[in-house]
Amino acid sequence: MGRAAGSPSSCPLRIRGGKGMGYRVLVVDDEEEVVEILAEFLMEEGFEVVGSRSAEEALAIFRKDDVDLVVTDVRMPGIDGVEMAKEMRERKPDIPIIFISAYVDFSELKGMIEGSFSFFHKPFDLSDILEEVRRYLFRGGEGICWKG
Amino acid sequence: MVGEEVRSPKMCRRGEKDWIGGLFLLDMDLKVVAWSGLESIPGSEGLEGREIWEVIPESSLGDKLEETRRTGRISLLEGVEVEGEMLDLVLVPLIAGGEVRNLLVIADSLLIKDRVMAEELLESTRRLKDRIVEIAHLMDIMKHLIATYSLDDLLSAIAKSIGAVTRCKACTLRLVEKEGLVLKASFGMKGDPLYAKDVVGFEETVLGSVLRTNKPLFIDDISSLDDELDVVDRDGMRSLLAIPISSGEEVFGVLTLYSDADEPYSDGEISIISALSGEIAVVIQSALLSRELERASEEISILRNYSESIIDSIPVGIAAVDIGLRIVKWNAAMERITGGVRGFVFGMPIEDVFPRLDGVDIVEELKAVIEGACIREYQRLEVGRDGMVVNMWICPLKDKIGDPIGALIIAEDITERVALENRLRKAERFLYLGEMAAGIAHEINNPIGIISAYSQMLLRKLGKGQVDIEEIAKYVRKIDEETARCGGILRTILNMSKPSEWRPVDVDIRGIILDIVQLTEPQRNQQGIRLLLEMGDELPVVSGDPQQLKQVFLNIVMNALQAMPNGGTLSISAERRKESGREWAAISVADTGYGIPEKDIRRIFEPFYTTRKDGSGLGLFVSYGIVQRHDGDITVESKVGEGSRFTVKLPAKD
Repeated sequence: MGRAAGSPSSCPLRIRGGKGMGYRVLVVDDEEEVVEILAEFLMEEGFEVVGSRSAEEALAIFRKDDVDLVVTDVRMPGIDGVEMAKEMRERKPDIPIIFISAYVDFSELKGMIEGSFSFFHKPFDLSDILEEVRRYLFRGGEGICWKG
Repeated sequence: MVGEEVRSPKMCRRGEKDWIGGLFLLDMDLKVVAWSGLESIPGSEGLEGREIWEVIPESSLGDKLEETRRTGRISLLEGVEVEGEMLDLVLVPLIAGGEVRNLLVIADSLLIKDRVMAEELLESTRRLKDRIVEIAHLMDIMKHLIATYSLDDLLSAIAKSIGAVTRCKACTLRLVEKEGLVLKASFGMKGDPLYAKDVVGFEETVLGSVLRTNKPLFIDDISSLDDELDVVDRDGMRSLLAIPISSGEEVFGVLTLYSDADEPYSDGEISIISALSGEIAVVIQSALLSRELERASEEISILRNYSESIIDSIPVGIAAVDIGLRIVKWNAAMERITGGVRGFVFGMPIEDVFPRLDGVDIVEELKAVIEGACIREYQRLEVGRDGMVVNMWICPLKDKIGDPIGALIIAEDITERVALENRLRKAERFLYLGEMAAGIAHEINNPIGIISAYSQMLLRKLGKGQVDIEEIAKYVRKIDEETARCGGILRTILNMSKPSEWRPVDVDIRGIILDIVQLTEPQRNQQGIRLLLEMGDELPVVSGDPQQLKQVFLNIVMNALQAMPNGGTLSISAERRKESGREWAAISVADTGYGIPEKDIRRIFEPFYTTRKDGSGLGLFVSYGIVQRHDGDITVESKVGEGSRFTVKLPAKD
């Protein structure tokens, strides 16, 4: 048994559009469906979204493009979400990061990463994620957040 | 001023110009032991060791001496000519312990001339003889006392006796120790021992010189002596006689006699005291030796007690048996383990005391160990009482030249450890269940997360009135797919937790492996993987479920192939093995792929643990369960960059 593997050629999902607010969100998850639906949802809300199915790829995008916020899974094959976030923070210390995970708890993450971040447990509420994204980008929100 | 040295012997002078005389102390072979006087007689130096008739060539002397020895009485031999001089000889037997030990020959030129003097001399000789006998007797007693008296008591007794029999005013007895001549005993000291120094140095003292020369020393006037003496107060003392206490070259100490007379001792007395100092030395030497012996034996007994208490304190049971398998050692821990009480078991045959062991005949094992000179080890033996479990070793005991003298049984009580291990295993099982539940929950959270997200999207769209049938169909399809994924996960878990009912049948491992080789051929070819297959003809038949076992090997082989996406070598070998007293079929599957990092190795059998994007993390977990149900074992060795080797061991059918 096991899941059907998505073809790697479908990445990155670079979907531009929305209401032209000019904010670019990077969505990272090894589950294609999660990237797809978050991208679709955030784009409908007017954000520019870049999707990726691996941390390695996401880091390449992050280095190249100007990204304003990252939504990422934690446990992924290869580099995991935490390592990826650390590298991103080294490059851009104030980059807002929202973690989503089916495995990891908020308390585990707290010890692993410095600075502020948000965390949502899978299954998550799309409107919660939207609220968090807006809080960071429009109100300069900051702090550790947890929604499970 | 140092006094005139008492050479032994010394010319005796009594004022008479023409007097000639001397003393000869003889042993029972009638050889000269010590002598004095007769210096006027030519060739009289160095008489020691010579027979008496070489000195006094008188034909009747031998008979007379023999008579003296036999009767133990003093006798007189008159008018003997020695080198032109006419001398009278007094023959005195010296008796100790009821036997004549020495003979004293007194030669005197005045005897004939003056009978009165002779009588006097005879009288004084008699007195001397009595004292000598007394001293010799005392020495005899002291020799016997060595064993029972302390050295200090013995030395006091010697000092007292010497004092009593020699009419000295006081005497001291000192022994050589590190710091000097140490006062051991004294007699006649005023406020004894206040008037004698505790220690006298070796150098520059009268006593020191006696020690160095190993010769007696007589000083007739100590009042004018500015040299240090061993007494603090010389009041009333006039002369001093210091005698080395020695045995051969070795000097142990000095005996010093003080007297209030200028010439307190007759020459004979000096000779005798000198001769006796040798006896004193022997007594002291034996006392010192016996003391040393005592100390040594004490040390040995302390050492023995020490090693006994070490053996007793060891928390491991130790027993030793001799070659006849009788118990010679049994420590406290062995008492606890076996219940055999120490005082009671010594000398008993081991089989009468040692408890029954599960499947081990102690007598046979001991015999085999003693014969074979090898060490045998027994793990987790159950000892008869209260479910006690021990690890036991039997080792051969050998003497210095390597001949067997018995065997050592070492038993370690591991009952508590075993109980702890059992508890731990139980706890691990619970932990494992917990981990598994968490694994299932997380695994299902992923598809549920997706279902939830699509449902939310669907609701939003429907709420906004944006009804696009195509889009809705897409969302619902996704929801359906993820629901199926949840179902799949749950089904696998259910299959695993419910041990399917199976009746073990004879399984042909060889056939299973050949099937799998065939099954995986297309994938091997596609990835460019070489196959090395090595199967012994003697592969044992295994009892079990062929379908489940096939799944195990398929899982392992598939993992191996997936570890080599760019080609490599797949080695499969199967062989008969004998391990832990059982026959096994051992099947190894090795790849030359990525390898597993050390930190991950212990996790690979955990459920849902995978490093592959599309892995379920259940393959090895399921395989592990199947092998366990077959009473087998599955192990893995791996090195990153070199590859991994999985080995499955299945017990052969009895």
